[in-house]
Amino acid sequence: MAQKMTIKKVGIPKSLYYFFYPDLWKTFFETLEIEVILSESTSRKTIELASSVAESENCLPIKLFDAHILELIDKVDVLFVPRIISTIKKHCSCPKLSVLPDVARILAPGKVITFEINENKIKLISSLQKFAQELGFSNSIAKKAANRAVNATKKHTEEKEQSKKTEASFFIVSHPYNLYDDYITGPVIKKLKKMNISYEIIEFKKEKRKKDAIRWDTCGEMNDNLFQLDPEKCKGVIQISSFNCGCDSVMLETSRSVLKEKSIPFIVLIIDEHSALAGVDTRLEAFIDSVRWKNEQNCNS
Amino acid sequence: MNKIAIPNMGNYSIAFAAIADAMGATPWISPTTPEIVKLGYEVSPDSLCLPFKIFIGHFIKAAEEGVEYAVMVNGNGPCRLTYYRQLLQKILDERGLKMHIFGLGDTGIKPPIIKHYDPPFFKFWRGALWALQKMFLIDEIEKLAWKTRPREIKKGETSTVTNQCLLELEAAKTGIEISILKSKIFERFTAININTDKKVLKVALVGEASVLRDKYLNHSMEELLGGLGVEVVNYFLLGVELKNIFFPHLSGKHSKKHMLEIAKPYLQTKVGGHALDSIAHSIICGEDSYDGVIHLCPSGCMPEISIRPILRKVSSDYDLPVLECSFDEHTSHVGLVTRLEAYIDMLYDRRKKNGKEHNT
Ligand code: SF4
Ligand code: SF4
Repeated sequence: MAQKMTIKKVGIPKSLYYFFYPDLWKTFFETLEIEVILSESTSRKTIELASSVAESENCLPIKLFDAHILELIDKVDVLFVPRIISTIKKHCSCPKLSVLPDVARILAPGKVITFEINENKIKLISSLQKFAQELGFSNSIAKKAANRAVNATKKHTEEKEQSKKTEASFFIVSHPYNLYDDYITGPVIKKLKKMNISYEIIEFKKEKRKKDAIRWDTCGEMNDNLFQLDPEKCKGVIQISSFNCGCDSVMLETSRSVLKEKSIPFIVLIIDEHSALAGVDTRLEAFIDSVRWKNEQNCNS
Repeated sequence: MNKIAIPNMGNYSIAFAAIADAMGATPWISPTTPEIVKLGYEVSPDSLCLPFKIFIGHFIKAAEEGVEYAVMVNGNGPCRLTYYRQLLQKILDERGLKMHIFGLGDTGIKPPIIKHYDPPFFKFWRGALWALQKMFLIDEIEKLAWKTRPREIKKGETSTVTNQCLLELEAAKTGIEISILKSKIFERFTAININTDKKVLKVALVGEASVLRDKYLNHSMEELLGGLGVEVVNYFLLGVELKNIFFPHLSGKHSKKHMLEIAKPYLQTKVGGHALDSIAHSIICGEDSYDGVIHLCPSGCMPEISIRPILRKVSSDYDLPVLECSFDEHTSHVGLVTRLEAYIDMLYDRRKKNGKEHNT
């Protein structure tokens, strides 16, 4: 494992786990006095790089991950890439997230630092602490970094919770790395704003849930949220899903039946590196118009 | 009506049929056909993977013929398979088809399927033992076929013998009959005229189980390659799988633990499905100087696709050419054959070149 003194700059790709654990990694490394270099936000350039280097049958988020890693390689001493097995107890993550460090090592040999996130075995706060120790830090510093990091991400979630608008008519679900990547979800939000539509974006609480139809962590939580929607308040659900996303392909079957039962209109916007979100505009508009029309009909009758 | 539908697992279907028999059920097994594929694609959500569509195709076909039960493995890993039994059942129910799907694996010592059929203890275990015997014999037959086919003088003879043996194995009803057949099989294969001097290539097939085993889905890849003068090794072995499910501590060399050990420099997790196996087996092939590895997977298969970059690294480190094949209902036979031929030509060229290099 790399020694404490050798790591001055750590690179974190602005993809996947960066969005899944907001503020966590930056706080963690900065407490260890390691400078954090983030890759640039996803742009047309990232997408182009991703489609030229990444495995073509993969989903967009994983392709983007490759591109973000490539962008960082020469700017940093090491790259941070965790192995994600499970982010919520009794659940599991998408299998593609379990191979990230192995794939990153091929792109950046000798430069990857990693640890395993597996809440089924060990709590994140403890595994973070162990990770810092492996990097050569003392017990107390490691503990401090882990605590601060976990608190930072908690705070982030709480603040978001508080700033939540109350009356939203549309509900947007997707994986965190799609939702918070402006290049991916931005056009949807822009469109909604332009149409003067109120919306709410799903918040991931990462809490252990009771019994679930879906064991995948993020998909399960999305599904759970859909179960709880109130048809009186929610006028429609917009799901952003990556082409070739295996988890979504299963989850969509449950979402569809849940929403159908509640009679909540549902649209799935599929993204890939070619379309990104072009064409989404018109589909979204048509969807919203149809929902409005339906509501007017209901009011009139 | 006591029939039970069993998904196609290539030659292994024979062993599954024997198990059903032991339970006192009549197996319903069909080769995958264009009709079944069509049925499957019509009712399946587009984005689900090939095995799902094929399973449901078989089950619907069976249900339409009045079969009321079906069986499949229960996944419990991070992959989609975990949800498939439920989703398949839902499709059947929605279409008003009266079929119940039993899940196998991870359901304790007396899974629902055994409870349902409740076979007499002795009869069941005797039958299960015969089924196991059949399974191992299927492996023997296949291994002989893999070795003989590329060297046969009369084209097609190996396949004829293989099919004959499999038919007789299917018909064998008792342990004694199976043993008698066993002694005959070896003789039959040695009776095939072969060119012993022929230099054949050795290529392994690794990847996802259903495309490795269902000959319709993989376009009879073993036979195609044999015809091109290639000795094939198919790395999906049912015996190994069963051991890994039921007696993991007994599976030794093929246990997931051992494979993690082998794959460690490249891959340090099980991923899901057979992705770890794909990497570990490719490394083994690299060490054993195979000429090449063909990686078969359904289009968009989560675990197998996610390890492709790793597979490429193994390929370059071991100087082991890997051909990647994704399968779905659109896979063109002509296209596949062309790719295989080009790949095999390339392997022959490498042999020649490497041979020369050795001489200088
Ligand atoms: S959950 Fe879907 S989008 Fe996310 S990594 Fe897995 S396959 Fe890709
Ligand atoms: S391993 Fe591949 S083919 Fe099998 S269920 Fe998972 S995604 Fe589908």
